[in-house]
Amino acid sequence: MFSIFNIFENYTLTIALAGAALLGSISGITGTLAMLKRQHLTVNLVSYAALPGIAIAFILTDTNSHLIFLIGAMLTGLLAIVQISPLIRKKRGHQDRILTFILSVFFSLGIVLFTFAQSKPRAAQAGIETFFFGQPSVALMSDLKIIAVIALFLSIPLLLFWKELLITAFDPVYAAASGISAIKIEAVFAAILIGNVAAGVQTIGVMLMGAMLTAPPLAARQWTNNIRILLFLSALFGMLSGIAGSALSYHIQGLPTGPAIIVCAGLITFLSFFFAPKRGLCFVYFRSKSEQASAGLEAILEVLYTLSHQHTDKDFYGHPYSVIQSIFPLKTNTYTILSELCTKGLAVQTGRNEWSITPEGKKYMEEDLRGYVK
Amino acid sequence: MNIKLFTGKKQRHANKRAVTMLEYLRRLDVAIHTEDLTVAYNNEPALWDIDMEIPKGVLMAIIGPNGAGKTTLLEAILGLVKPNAGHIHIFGKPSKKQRKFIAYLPQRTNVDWDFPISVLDMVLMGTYSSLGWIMRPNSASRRKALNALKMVDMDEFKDMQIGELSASQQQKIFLARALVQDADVFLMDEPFQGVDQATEKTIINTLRTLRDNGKTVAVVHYDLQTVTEYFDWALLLNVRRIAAGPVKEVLTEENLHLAYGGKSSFLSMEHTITSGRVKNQATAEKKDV
Repeated sequence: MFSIFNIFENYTLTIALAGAALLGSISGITGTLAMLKRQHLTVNLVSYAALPGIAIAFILTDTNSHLIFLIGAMLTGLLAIVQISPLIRKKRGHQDRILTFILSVFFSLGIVLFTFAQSKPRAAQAGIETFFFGQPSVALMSDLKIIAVIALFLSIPLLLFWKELLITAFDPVYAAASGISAIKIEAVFAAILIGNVAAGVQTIGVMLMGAMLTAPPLAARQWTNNIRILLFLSALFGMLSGIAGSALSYHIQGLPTGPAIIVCAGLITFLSFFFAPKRGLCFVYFRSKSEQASAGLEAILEVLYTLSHQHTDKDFYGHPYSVIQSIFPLKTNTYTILSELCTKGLAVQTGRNEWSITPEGKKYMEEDLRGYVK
Repeated sequence: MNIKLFTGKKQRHANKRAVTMLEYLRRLDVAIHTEDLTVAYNNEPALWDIDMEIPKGVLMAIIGPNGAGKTTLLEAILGLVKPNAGHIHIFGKPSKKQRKFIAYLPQRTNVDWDFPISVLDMVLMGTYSSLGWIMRPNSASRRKALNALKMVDMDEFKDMQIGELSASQQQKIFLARALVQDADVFLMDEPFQGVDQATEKTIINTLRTLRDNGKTVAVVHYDLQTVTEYFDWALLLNVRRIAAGPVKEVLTEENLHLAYGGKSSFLSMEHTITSGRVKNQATAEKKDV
């Protein structure tokens, strides 16, 4: 069975895990950048565009060197980015439509070329079909080296141009007005993206690389509003899903790495969407419930307060339920609200089905009104 | 100019030089001037043949109906859109290398307020232009940012995420970001849009402080009621330049008719100016869009 010891005993697995972890964390960071720039479709485009690149590289060189395949993937990725660059300033609706179309074209081209490439005698040996969904068994030391070198190269522009990347993502107009050239920064981002996709196509595969870049930042975003923590969490989630996914795929015969990793990343994202504080769906649901309840409380108290002005001679003058209900019809049960007001000491039940505001309640309302006047 | 010192050809040269000298001296008092500035989007002119000057040290309103090219004018000065014709000079020199003297405050609605950065981080972006590429903001820029936040009464919110602020507070930190830039000219696009009364006062007081410190401030403004109260200089625009100068000279009924006239809004606009009470039509129109 799987245990912490045979991770280190098993050389192949160690390499596969290290590669997936490294890849996951850089994808987390690049993905965060793409998310902040709202360029999910560009991410998908570049990963699909790798497909024809790999096929062409194989057809032309007839090699099984992964490095050559990756160079092919990078070149077509670059071609795709250059092709869509005039669209960057276009309106979002247009952009999405055209991007989706170009993406499909690249994908179809990739499938056509792959079919052709697989008819070649050395296709099975070169293992090009693993580029669709990724494969852990091809994780050799040389592949880990490729990932490590790309990660190193990606971290340089990320560190150097972080400030510019951030301001362009947040406020491109202001960035341009402060003399930061949009074209240069887009080029830096494109280079980072293409590099990251090339690093990932072996382990995760062309089909799911886009998801690898989308899921970790999406999950991380649910937990924090701080960009530094966001980057850290995104890298962490990417790394965790990388490790878990490749371990899973190693132990289940015939399971490609890509889907395994993405399932793990998807699980993290799903949990984050539901259970994260502040942004998570559960939290939002309970907060809106409690807000509704407190809004109801104040509304009914206000009704009682207004009614009490009719009878200034008495401290407690009961008003029937039907009157209160008709002045302020609530969706929630008015009885429960009234009893909650009673337990808080802001209202009191004076008779059967009759309620009145207490002096504390009046004081509360008057303070509340003072707040409004201010 | 007719100062007779020489005769014949020499005199004509002297005259010519005197004129250019005068022109030069006059330009010294001008922060920004444009000549024949024309900008078009898809063959539809947004600005047509604009000759205008923003004198140094004024608080100027840029007013005009919707689609008059107010924002386009700012964008052209900043080099964000390319003019089809004409020249822009900043402090007497072609605008290309002079843009570092300008701070810009875009419309608040331009950015994604859900962006995961703190108020201080956003204000620090104002220092990026002076830092240049690669350099990171240091403690000096941090101090500057905090000072700017203090100026607009927002220093206690420095660690909050920008999306948690109200519209008025967001506008104030936008202003703080422009203040950090330490510029000589401030170009602002509707800084009063969607803010409450108190914030409007804070903003206009900050702008006045800037002007009193010798800075030049040009503001795209839509509320005709407050133009005379807030500004001392105005440019009235409707694709073409209608009028420019001291506010009282610009805001005449005739000029306003030229700018806004023909539209159904004119009657109520006139009403606005005479009574000063009815809600400005331009604002109402804006909401419709």
